[in-house]
Amino acid sequence: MATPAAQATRGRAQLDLDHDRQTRYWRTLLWLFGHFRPYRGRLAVAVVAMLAYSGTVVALPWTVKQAIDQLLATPGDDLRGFAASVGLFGLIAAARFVTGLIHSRNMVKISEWVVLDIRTQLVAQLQRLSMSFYDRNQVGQIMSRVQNDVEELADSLWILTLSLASFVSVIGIAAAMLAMDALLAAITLAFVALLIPSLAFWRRIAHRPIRRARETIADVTSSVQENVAGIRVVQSLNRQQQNTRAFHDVNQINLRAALRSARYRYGLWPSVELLAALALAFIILVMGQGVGASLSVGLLIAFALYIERLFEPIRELTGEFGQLTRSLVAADRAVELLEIEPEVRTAPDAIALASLTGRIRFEHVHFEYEPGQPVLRDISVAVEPGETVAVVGPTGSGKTTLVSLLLRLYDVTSGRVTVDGRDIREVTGDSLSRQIGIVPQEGFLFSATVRENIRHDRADLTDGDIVNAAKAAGAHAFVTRLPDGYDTVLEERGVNLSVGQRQLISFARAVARDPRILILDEATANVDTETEVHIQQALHRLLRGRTSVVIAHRLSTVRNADRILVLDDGRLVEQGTHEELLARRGLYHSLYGRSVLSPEADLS
Amino acid sequence: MPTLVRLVKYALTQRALVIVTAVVMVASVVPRVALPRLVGDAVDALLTQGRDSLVLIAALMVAAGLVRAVLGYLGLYLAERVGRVTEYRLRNDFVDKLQWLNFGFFDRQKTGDLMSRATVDIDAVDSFISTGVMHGIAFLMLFFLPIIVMLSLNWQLGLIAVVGSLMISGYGVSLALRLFRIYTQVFRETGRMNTALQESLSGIRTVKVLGAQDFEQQRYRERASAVASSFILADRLAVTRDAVLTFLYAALMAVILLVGGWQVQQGAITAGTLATFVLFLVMLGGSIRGLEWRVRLFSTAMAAGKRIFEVLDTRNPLVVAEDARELSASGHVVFDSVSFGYTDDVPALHDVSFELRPGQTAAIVGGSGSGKSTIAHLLPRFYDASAGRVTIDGVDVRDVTLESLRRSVGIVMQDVFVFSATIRDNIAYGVDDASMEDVIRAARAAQLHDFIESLPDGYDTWVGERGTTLSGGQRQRLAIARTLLLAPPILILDDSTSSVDVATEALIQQAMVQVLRGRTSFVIAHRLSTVRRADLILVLDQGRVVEQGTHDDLMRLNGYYHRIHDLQLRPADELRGFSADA
Repeated sequence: MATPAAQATRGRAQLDLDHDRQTRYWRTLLWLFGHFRPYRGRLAVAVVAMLAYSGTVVALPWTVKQAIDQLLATPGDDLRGFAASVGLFGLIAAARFVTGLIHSRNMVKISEWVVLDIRTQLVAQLQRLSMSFYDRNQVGQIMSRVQNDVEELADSLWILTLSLASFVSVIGIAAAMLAMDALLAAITLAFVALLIPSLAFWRRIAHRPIRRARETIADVTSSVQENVAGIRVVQSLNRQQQNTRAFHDVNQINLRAALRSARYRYGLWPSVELLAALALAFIILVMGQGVGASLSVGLLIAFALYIERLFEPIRELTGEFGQLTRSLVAADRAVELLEIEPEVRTAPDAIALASLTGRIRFEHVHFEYEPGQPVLRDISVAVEPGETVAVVGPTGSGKTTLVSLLLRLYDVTSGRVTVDGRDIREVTGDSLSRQIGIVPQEGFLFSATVRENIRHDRADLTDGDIVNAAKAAGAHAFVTRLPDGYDTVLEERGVNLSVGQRQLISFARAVARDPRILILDEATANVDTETEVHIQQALHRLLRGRTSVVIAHRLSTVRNADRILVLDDGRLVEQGTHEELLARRGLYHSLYGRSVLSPEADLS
Repeated sequence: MPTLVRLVKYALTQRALVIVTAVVMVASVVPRVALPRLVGDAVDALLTQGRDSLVLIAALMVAAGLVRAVLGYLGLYLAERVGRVTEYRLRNDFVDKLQWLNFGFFDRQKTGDLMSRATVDIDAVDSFISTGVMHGIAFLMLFFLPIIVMLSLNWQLGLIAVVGSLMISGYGVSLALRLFRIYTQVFRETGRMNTALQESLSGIRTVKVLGAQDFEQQRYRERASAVASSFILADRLAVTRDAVLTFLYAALMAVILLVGGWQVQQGAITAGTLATFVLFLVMLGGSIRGLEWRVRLFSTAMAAGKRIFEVLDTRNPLVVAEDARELSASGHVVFDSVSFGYTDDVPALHDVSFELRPGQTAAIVGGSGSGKSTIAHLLPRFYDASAGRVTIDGVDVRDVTLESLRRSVGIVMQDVFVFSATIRDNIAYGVDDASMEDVIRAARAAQLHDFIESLPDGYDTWVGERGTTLSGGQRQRLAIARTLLLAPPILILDDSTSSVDVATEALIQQAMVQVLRGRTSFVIAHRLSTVRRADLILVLDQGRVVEQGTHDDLMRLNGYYHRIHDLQLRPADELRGFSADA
């Protein structure tokens, strides 16, 4: 048996299509530039400063040339002309200091703001996306887009500004060299030009190993993920040694790929070094021949300085080129995420739902998560205000899906869901979710205090409201036993709370919101009998006057409902009261008849 | 700085590679430093009309360029190799360590946090070792070698350059250290921002049903804005520093030009020497500017290293005795005055004693947080008792090898982790050589076979993170199948049937009757129908066993058990009459 870690590769190849997608460089660049718009005033200042800065960068070696030439041209002790040139050098250096500072300080701000905008835009999009998106993509992957990709992007914005300045300088230097001595300039630029084909060649051969290294690191990450998230299973099944070995293998593959990629990645570097040396050597030889060139020591020094300046940014850029490509890929991935249209959308003319009476209707509702695999088929049901409806059925019959549709976590494939006669697709998500409370199957708690967990976004809830809600949900007793009571900080998978207790807190959270419609999704499955009895009593009070939909397995919960809906394979097969359904001797009877009778069977 | 020392030690495990890399790094600087010298010589040759030597100088330049190209490339590659191998080793050690840490550790750590240590932090160390340390050698050479050459060319002018350079660099280093502290702070804030986001995404369903998207979005924006402001402050300091250092070097250059020009005039030095000085100063100015980037690497790596070593240094409280023996259990389990607390101040179990003979079934009942799961977790030593002892067949569980212990104790836990793999591999996860027949038999016993067969790819269906999503009940049955395949003499079912519906549970229970037969088993269940047939019922309340005995014993006691029993069974009693009528 191959280990899951090794097979993760296959899993990814199946589902992650990103690797083979063509990066849309131009469109991505345009998108990126769009984010600079709000800061164009500041950007203009930065660009002007950058141009001035590049001017000083080009001018400095020229002043050195002037100084040296003056020094060698004037015999005797007269150093005034020379000193004046050095003074000019100092002045230009000061100008470079000022313009450089204006440029970089502005760019720091702009690029951080752009990154902030992109980050918040991405997170806003993530909050907007439907549950189906989260079903298909795992949180780790999504996080890496917001976290790593944006950081890549931030790095490259920085590099981009620097490279832009370098690029302008390169143009300026080329012009300055041409002005000083056309032949020498032509020689130098010819060598620079030689870089272009080598760059193209390098890109072609380095592309694949670099990509391969990226893919293998993804395998390492998912292998680590399984070892961390699945560690309890690993340890209880004694898989430590096998897992260690499997991980070492994956890690080793990545090491090899990374080293191979490194061999290619630095491939361009030697040619830059060599071409710079060749350019300088040629200039010296040409100068020595005295062909066409004005023989000036200052010129040689200026050219030496220029060549350093000319090849340095190119050398840096080749180092950064990988980074730039990486961040364009990252940016492209961000764009891709932003382009996803949430499947559940708020209509532009959506209205805010007024206070509900709580009538729910499902009209010929069909639903499928994956096309061709219906999960709910032609469900039509009406729940009257104040009614308590229990939904029962075998695992996978569609109970949770049914309530997910009411919450509009997904949109129906066909048919419609209405509350108080209004299609839920025509109302704002906010106004809908404020009036529907749910205690989900697996209550999620945030790393925050018990109080903050119950209150969450509802700043208007007083501490008193929270305590009352906790009491109603049967959570108050154990919360007060916690070390810091309501101020106890809960952990992601806390030792401090049992599954049942966590559920009681989610229950309190729903209760505190005083919703018109309450959904309990197997809410008491993980609660022990005694606590459940408390909850049942509380529920009795809480459900009064509210419309409620209860998904439950326990007979005691189901029995109390006004009406029971029996789902089987996505169809509503029976409905009625407990007694009616038992009398029908259908699916309900086979589900609950046995459960009820089994203790007796044991006793016999 | 112990973190630094330890990181370097990690890199030094590949001593030969490190030494070769260092040598190449140093050597690659030499041709670079030779270039200004050669330009100086060319200047002098041009001025003295010694043009024949120009050819030699040009040839030397090309030669230096060649050597530089080859060594430079080699240096880059080798430095990366040192970093990568360090990364590789650290990551292996990290994951190895995780395999053997006990559950207490994982209770305290967040998955996302451990993940970022294993990935981002180790990457940061890699960058630091290769770019920071190995390239740092070249960086230092690039600073000191020109200084030496300048002093040897002309000590007066050299002295000015050296003193000036050292002063500027000293200032640069002090600023860099300040930056180090600021960046450390900024990275910490970034980490907090990301953790918060991760959490709000993990709980997205809850956020959505609460309609709290705007709230979450606002909260994130605030955090991200704070991070952006900190970054602006830090980066502004960095770019200012950069500009100041560059300007100071330009000022030094002006001084050198003036003094050097005067010396040329006096005939003390040649114009070529002055040219060499000018080029060297440009080089020094460039090299000091690279310092900021390195400081950033350094500060990231130190924080990262600390977080990595924190995990590597975690002492595993689970000590296996030196002379631990293999356990081949028949399944006689005794808890002897066992106490335990997850944290020191809150006891989770208090003085628990009971005995279970081979083949017997114990049911553990009690309220939320009463310690039911804790009892289950002490038996396979996911935690160790803080007082008292747990024995199997009379042997303390701390005296047997972990492997044999866990092979003897199968557990189906509350939350089930599904690996990204096929269903078949998930079921066979604990057994290396499971045959397809064994897997199917286990799946059948766990009532999962029919469901699997209904999937398009059957047992080869990919599940887990990127595969078909299994419902809670399906996951639980998968875990049961997994455990059944191991055929352990002792079996623990922790809440295992709570989130499957009645029909499925009934099926599982039928299978379980077969499975439990002949095994010592612990069942943590809320349903009294499961509990009634147990040989021993342990009733827990706040970590204490308040009642124990058989169903009949406990009913006679008329206590806690009697109360919950009544609550659960009342509907059934009512129904009995109804069914009889029907």
